[in-house]
Amino acid sequence: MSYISVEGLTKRFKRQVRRTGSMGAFKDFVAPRYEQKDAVNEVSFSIDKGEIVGYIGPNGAGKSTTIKMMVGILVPTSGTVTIGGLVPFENRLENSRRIGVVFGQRTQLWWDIPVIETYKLMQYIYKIPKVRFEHNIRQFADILGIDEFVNTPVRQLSLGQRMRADLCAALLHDPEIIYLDEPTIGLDVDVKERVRGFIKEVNRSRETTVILTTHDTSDLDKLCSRVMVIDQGTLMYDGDLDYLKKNYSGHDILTVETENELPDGLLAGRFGDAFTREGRKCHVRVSPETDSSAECIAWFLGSATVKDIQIRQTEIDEVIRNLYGSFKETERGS
Amino acid sequence: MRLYRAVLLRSFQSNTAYRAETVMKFFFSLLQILIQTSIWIALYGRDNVHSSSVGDVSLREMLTYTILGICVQIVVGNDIIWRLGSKIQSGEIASDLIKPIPFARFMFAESGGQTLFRIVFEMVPIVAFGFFAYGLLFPSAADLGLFLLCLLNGIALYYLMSFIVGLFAFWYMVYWHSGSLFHVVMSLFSGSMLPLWFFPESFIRVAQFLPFQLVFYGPISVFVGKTTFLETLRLVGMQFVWIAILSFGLKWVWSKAWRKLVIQGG
Repeated sequence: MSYISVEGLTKRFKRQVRRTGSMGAFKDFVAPRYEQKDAVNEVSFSIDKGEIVGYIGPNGAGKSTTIKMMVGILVPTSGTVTIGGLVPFENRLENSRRIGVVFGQRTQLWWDIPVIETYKLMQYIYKIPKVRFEHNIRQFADILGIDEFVNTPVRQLSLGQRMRADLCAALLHDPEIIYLDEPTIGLDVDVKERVRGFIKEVNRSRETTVILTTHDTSDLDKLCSRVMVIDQGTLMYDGDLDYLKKNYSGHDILTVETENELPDGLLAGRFGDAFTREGRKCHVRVSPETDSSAECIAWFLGSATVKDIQIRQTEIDEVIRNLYGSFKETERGS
Repeated sequence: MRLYRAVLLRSFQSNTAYRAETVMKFFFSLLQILIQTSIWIALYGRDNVHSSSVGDVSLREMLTYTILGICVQIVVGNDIIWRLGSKIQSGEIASDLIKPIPFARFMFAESGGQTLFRIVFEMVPIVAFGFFAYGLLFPSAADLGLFLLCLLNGIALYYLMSFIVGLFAFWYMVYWHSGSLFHVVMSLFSGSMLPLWFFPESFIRVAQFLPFQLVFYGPISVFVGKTTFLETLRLVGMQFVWIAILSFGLKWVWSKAWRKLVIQGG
């Protein structure tokens, strides 16, 4: 049996429907109306030990709700979650010993005291043996570069430092699973790389299972082999990342700036209607089934004096929209 | 235990981060003392004693009661309702609940650190001030011991009550109403502002059955020497009974709140 198994998981929230205008506000006060919304609807999956799974979807799709049920701080409306034989919300204390959680948007560190003090507290909270604790601190501090600010109060840390400190705090007790909710949000490229490297290293050396939500496609590229896509509470895809991208990403957008304006007729002859032009800039939609970006670039280089070329890959949110079948051709002009 | 000691010390430490706030709080307490003692001095006028339901009360006893009331407020008081409320409202409570700690006890230790801090930096100066300015009465060693026991129970009682009230934020998401209601009820029935001695008979009879007076009126009366040994024993007994009732109450409300839990955001 797999390590994490989720079956038919559903969470239904009741939320108030607001009417408009001052009369509406009055009515809302006297007789509020409610609607039921399934934040997570009949979601099932299973995850093995040591996997890194990307859990993605647009804002409000139900990612965080699912994770909250998995860590045991939200009670499901129906369905089951079993993690290593435990039902999280019924065994909150026991389950919490095995997991580490990082919420990208909020810190778990004690705000007014130095980072190291929070770590020492973690040692007591999780009853980490002294040798283990010191070994972990040394190793993590090394990879994440924490040493320079370990004696600084958390409120004086930059976002990147805080994120690294939070990651370290979540892993001191050697959790079997870590949940990372947008761990790279708002970080610069250097820190992002560091954080990713750290996650990979922990996963490799300790067989830690990683469940990761993100809006950053490169997080997925660098870390995950498996992705689960959720939208409007329903799990829409569960499998290989490459397969997902190949089949649903559709196309790249190629933007070429030329020395002189190219005549529309010339462009239409090569690309049909898959292009738009603003002065000397051409945007071309490259469908991978019939064309390739490399050939398009070669054509441009052969036909005009090219000043600048940009290729934009489809964003993950776009992939999801494609998956959902509601894609509209509105992104051309970017 | 080591965990709670560590939490307590860290909480103490994080309180030291705000020095200006401490100075302000001290002056606030000082002002409170000056106002309340002035009122009593004016009310007593030329008389040295006033009769009450516990017999004559001298001005000096009254001043001791007042200053002690403020000290007890510092020792038992906490900002649990506010902190719990904002944790629930902001969703920050998630970070606490994903740790293997019994939440209420953890918060208790945290608020203990704050109390310790307030005792050192607020209460000690106030007691010193009261002693030199008004000549506080000090009880016998036995009474002092009993008072300290009652005070410890008072801390537990106040904490339990405020935690339960704070948990109501799980249902309503706003917490300052319940907080201020709690404080109003507390200051009326607990005898923290005005000793129950001076209330009408019927009011006292009602207040006696409520836990509020066990926090202020009870312990302070012991200190001022207005209770017999038997009455003190009864008081301690009542405190234990209420601690038991409120502990069960807290467990019950927590289990309900747990099911209700909706972490905000995301």
